[in-house]
Amino acid sequence: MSRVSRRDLLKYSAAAAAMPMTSILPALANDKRVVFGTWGGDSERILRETMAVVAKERYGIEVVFDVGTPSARKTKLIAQASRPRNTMDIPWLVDSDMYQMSARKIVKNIVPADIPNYENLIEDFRTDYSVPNCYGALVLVYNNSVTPPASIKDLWRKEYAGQIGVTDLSYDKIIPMASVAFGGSTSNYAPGYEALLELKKNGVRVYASNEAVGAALKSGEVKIALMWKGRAYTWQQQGVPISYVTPSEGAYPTFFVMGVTSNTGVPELANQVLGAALDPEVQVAVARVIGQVPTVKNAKLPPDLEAGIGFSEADRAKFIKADHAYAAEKASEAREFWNQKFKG
Amino acid sequence: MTREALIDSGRIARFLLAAVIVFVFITLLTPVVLVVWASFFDSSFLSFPPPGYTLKWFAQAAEHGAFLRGFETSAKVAFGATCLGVFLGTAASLAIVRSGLPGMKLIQGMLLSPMIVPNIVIGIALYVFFIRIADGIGIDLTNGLWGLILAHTLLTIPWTVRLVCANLVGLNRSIEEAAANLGASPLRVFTRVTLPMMRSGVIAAALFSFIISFENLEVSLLLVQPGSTTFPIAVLQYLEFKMDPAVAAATTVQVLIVASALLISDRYVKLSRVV
Repeated sequence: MSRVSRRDLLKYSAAAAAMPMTSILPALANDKRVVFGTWGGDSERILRETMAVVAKERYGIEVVFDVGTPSARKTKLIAQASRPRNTMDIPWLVDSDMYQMSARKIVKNIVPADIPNYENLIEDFRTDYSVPNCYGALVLVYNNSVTPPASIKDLWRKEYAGQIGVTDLSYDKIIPMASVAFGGSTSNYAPGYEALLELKKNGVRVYASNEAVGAALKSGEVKIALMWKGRAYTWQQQGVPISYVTPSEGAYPTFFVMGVTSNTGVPELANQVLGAALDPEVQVAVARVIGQVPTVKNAKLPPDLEAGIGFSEADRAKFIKADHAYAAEKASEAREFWNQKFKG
Repeated sequence: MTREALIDSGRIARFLLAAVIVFVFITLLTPVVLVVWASFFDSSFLSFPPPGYTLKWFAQAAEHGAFLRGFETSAKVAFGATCLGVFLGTAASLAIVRSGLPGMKLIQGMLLSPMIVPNIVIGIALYVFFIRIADGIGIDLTNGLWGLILAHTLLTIPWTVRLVCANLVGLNRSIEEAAANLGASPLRVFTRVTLPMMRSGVIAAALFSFIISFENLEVSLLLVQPGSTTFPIAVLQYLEFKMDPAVAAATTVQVLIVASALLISDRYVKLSRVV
């Protein structure tokens, strides 16, 4: 066996040390690469296994996932708004966040004709600047041992006092829901603030996460919750004794939407990836894994899953419509109300 | 006070001391014990008492690619930041303690300052700074591990400076002077006398640096490159969608690895003497 000289060792060590340096130099032309900003966990995994595969096989595009919290992704987008080229080509955010990105011109308007399968997107879900690939909505979830609530307003009934659980991070939906139930609207939060203070007097538990609400429903710590339909379905499948119903005022939807950054270097490829996200098989796979409902008409869920997480046309027609401009204007006020007055 | 009373008060003091020590140990170890315990729960919900026990969450955690990729990235970054931070921090500590130059206290304060700035602020500031560098000279530190390693080095330097400075102050300089009087060159004195005497401080700094870097979340959130993730980010992201014991299982493995590393280190340097 030949011995490695000290000179060779130094040479190999220098080469090894320089390896990570190659990535910080301007990328060699990799024309078919799209960076996709996303949540991690199951949502990233299922898009990696489905959407990225469709993009690769159908269009030869490599999708690179930039995983981070919504705040981190928004910070990156804003910090790069004036750069010649954004490192993120497609941000995936909830509709209210994407509205803010569009208002700042960080994402550009889409051209429907350039996006494969766009024609199957449900008309009501279309916006000028984003493509929703799935959605869910907050519904009323209740333990099978209690009288089922029928409306958001029912949560204020004395028989439910001290038995209601909500998720901390859902405050920006709970406030408009309360407003709608008590004579206000998604453009007038004042009645909601007042009503929520009454609910606080009755006793309401605020949990750090959706899963903590699930654990509380399982243990019987709470009997009623405002929760995403997909989560409630999953918990029901796991044996938690609950049922759920769309409130008579309407469910509050959240759309998971994709946009294309104004300074992307690969707009055509980004549109093709959006098309891959609208592929019916991709959407059904997403629904199976994260319980969010497809947004294209040609995606058919299995009947049991459709019954568990889906929304009928009548349900969709009654969805509480968010006023993103008003929500953005009142964001600080709503957060302060929730943290200081409602939780405090 | 009689002799018996003195003996009694001594016993009470010893009992109180023992009680405080036990309380501190319970406070420190309870979260770790609970995490390890929860990793064996046979339930998707982390609720007490568990309906039974299982090993399936360890298999599930092993199949979750983000945990493995995150673990690998975190280990690489922590190793790089530890090497760089300990090297730079040790050199700075020598200058601060030994040089006698004016302004050293100010420099020490500046080197310790990353400890008092919120990590998320450091992360955002560095991200914007790296973008400016990329736009200015074409070297993109947000793409690749080096940006993250450099950012984490900022976090490891304060620990190194604190620990190595404390170590240096306590060193007996007469041994170095004796070596010099016997004809050893300054370099020889440093390599044969000073550095071995600093060993415990440097090893403590390396251990703390590795752990501080490995578990960092806030700085990494913005600086991790597309296509990559760190272990704390992978755990955070997993928890956004699920709160089952797979996270506890992954964390248990992390605890085991860190504990093993500490035990192995203890064979070479007694950690009780350096920490």
